Amino acid sequence: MSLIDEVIAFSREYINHRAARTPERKRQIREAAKLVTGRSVNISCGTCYIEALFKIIKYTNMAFSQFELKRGYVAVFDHLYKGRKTFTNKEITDELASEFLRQHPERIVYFAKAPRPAAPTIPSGITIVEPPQVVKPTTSTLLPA
Amino acid sequence: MTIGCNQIVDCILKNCENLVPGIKDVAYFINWDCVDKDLSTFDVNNPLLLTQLVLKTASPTCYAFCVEGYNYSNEHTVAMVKKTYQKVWDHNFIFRIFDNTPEVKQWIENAKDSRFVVIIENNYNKPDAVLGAGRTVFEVLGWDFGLELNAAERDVKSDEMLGGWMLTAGCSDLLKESYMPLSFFVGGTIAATRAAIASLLAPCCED
Repeated sequence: MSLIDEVIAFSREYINHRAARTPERKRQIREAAKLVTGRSVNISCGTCYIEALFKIIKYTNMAFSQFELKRGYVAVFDHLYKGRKTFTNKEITDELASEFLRQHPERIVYFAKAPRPAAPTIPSGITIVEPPQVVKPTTSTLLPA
Repeated sequence: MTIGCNQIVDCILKNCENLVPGIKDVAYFINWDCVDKDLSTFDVNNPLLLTQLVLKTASPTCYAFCVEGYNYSNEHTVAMVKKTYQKVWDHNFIFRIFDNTPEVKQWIENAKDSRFVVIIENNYNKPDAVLGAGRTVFEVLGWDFGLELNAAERDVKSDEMLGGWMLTAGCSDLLKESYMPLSFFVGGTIAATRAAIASLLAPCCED
């Protein structure tokens, strides 16, 4: 279980029960908040830990698609039914990403996360040719007589 | 020699739009190592028009970090520098931080030893019915080598800064940029460009 998962797991108990706010858990919240938000939690502020927990939960729950674009990339394409569509990680859905990749399979490089296809797709008009067998000369033939 | 390479091939006609000077108070800093230059793309006809700025998937996570000034406190200059055989460009970004917390000091200490790309937002937004409005808004400084902090100054008696920090980022003394700042315009619309920038931002920008 990752640190963030661990923090999310005890978050409810931490918020509801004062006795659950141990120094060890506070340390974990500080580390997780730094990872997720890039900011430090004010050590002397009890409410800040709870606010940090909400931020951790919020940012972790944002991933709702199996696909994730690389940061900064904006996918623009002509959807079959919906016309010109533009999406980033904030608007990404499985349907949009799948359609985008169906039209532009080479743009898979812009995805940080994508489900592995069930079977490799071979574009139409392309046939796979097995490479010819290459027989390597044995070592002894290379040696001088 | 390629035909059209380094030759004037187009006209510049009178601009009937009013130029608006200055840049916005928010600038976006990206660690230079974080920019994925293999995946970032340019306009096929114009190498000064950046059409996708993609960050690497790395740990710690790559982000664009906001630095917010106040009342048009950010400044930007660009100048051509003539070298022995070629001409290059000196990018400068002057920004002010109106604070002096330990976090601000740590930010400056980190920036002092790093190289970064800066995205600025111009006030000038030229409408264009054909090519799309917004192509003059965002610019990217330091694409080739990244900018570095060339000066950091805090004068506690300063009437202007009132004890805040004045920082100057620019090219290094030897290595200047091969191009002037790049225009950044994604997907043919300013909305898509803003969406691209929003997807780059670090969570701390939303506070």
